[in-house]
Amino acid sequence: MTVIILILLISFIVMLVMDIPIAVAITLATFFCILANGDDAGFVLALKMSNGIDSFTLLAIPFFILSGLLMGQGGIAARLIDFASALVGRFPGGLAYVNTLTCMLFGSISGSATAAVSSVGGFMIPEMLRKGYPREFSVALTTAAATTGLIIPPSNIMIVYAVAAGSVSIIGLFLAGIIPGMLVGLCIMVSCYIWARKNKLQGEAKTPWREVLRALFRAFPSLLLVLIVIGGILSGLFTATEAAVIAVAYSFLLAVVFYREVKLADLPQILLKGGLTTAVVMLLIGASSAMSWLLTTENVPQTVSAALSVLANNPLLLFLAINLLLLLVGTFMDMTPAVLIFTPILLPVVTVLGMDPLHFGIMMITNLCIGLCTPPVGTCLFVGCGVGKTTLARVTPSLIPFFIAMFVALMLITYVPWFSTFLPNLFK
Amino acid sequence: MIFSIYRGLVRLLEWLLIVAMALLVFDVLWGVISRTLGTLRAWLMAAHDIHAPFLPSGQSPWTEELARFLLIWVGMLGAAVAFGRNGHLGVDYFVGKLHPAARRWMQVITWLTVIFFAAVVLLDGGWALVRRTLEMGQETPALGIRKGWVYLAVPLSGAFTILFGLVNLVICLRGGAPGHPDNSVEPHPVAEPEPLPSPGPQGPLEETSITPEPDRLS
Repeated sequence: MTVIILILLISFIVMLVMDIPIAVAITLATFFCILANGDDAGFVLALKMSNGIDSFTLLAIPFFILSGLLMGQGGIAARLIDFASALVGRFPGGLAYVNTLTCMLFGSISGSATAAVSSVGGFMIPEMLRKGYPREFSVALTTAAATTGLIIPPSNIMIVYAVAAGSVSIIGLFLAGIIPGMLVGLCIMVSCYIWARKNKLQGEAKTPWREVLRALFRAFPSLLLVLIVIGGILSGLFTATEAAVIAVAYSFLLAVVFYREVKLADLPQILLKGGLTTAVVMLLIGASSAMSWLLTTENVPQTVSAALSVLANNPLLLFLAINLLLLLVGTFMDMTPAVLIFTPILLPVVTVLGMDPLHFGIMMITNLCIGLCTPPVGTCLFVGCGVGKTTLARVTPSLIPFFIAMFVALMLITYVPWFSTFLPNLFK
Repeated sequence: MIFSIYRGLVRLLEWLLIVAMALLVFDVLWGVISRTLGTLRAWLMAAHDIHAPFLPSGQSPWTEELARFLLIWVGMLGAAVAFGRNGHLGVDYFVGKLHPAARRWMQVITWLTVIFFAAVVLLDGGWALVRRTLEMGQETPALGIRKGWVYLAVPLSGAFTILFGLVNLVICLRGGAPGHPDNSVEPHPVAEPEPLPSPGPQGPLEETSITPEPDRLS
């Protein structure tokens, strides 16, 4: 058994370092192990991979991707910014709060942190520059705030986690993410508050209540998408997959018919882009479902548990160790493969200690969100630097306060399960 | 000539993907609509004694099955196209630290590995899967098609991945950046160059790699 695990681990890490596509690395590492066991590896893998993709639940992923592509247009970001400025613009350092709040709303609707950075950042960063905010601060803030959209539902990464974890309810995860997502946003805003106090910043003009209502009215059609999805699943009217397809239909009506920001001629490109992104994720899911099958037959989760039993007496320390491991992974690896690889290994370990799978999922996603904006490899950070016309090296120092804010939020989410479990328990 | 056939093939695959994605949306949407109409019909019957035979009697049973099969096809064929565009996720940090010449050889190894994977797992393994499933004669419950044909996406994807992998291999050997020359998808976000001493003349491998936004989930 140990030999098999060694083959898996070494071949996987070697291929990973060589920049071989992660899905290929996972499949081939599994391939060598099955071969060492003397089975018909190619056939077994083809079967496990196709069966891993053959699931109705997974269909929510292409649909949320499509609806995100349709909703991820600039006009929706502009309406959300108006709404956010009406709410929080008047406080000292107002634009920083507006940026954070817009990222949270937009990220939730579009389900993509990179789309949030480019769409919201495209409007907010020039606006902040005009009002005298430093460029690096504006870029760092947008990058950090954009990741909250992955914790606030609906979120595709939660579906990936639910599938990797086995029997975790998607609506449970969606509900579990609401408070932690707001918590991360709040911590980022606190960081902005400290910064604004230190720099003695002014707020924007106060918005009269009528204007606030008007802005809400204009932003409401976009926000309604989130309500339809969550409300629809919660009420039992439809499944997560059906809610996602309804989100596609609704975004189509909104973006193509109502706002006319997407032309009919753009649709093939959007479908193609959505299809390719789906395929990248599906290949990863197929590969990791084959690997987690191997891990289970080789009793790896039990072995890891046993190895970690030193820490098992001290769950606080174990959670910290897991968080540090994931932070390290997140700096090099994208979120989807990280979730797919580490969920089957770590989840059994923490559930033995009594951790709720919903809680673990939210902790893991929050943790990996930090990785999206840390150098050397941070997808959000790269987009942010591109939008804000600056470099990684210059932004990194400005990011430190936001790392601290996100880390504080992560620790709160890790050690106070209430944040994640309160809403799911309420609706059980 | 060969190039235009190759391009036509890529276009064909892309359009297959587009149609399959559109079908997926309509299929699942029809699942929801037919169920809702079925409920409406039952309600009309029970509460108002109105016959509505033109309404469906309930959710069409084939919608879920068709959607799952379409997803396998989108996933498998899309994966091949994504290999052609060099769009799959990898950890490019360590290779990025290498000297451009060494990096080029690493890329050659990468594409050889991808081709090996496609040949052994997708093509050979997938074909075995199709054959054995067809031999068992297993039929899907709602659509009544033979399950083996659903799995045909796997070896097909393998064949296309080998083809695209070979093309990228040749491009790498000639010192170019992998990915289709006629690519129209927006570039993968790459950090702006740091103000560091540049390692020699910028080779073609320094170019931005082009991907179908692999980070949509993140």
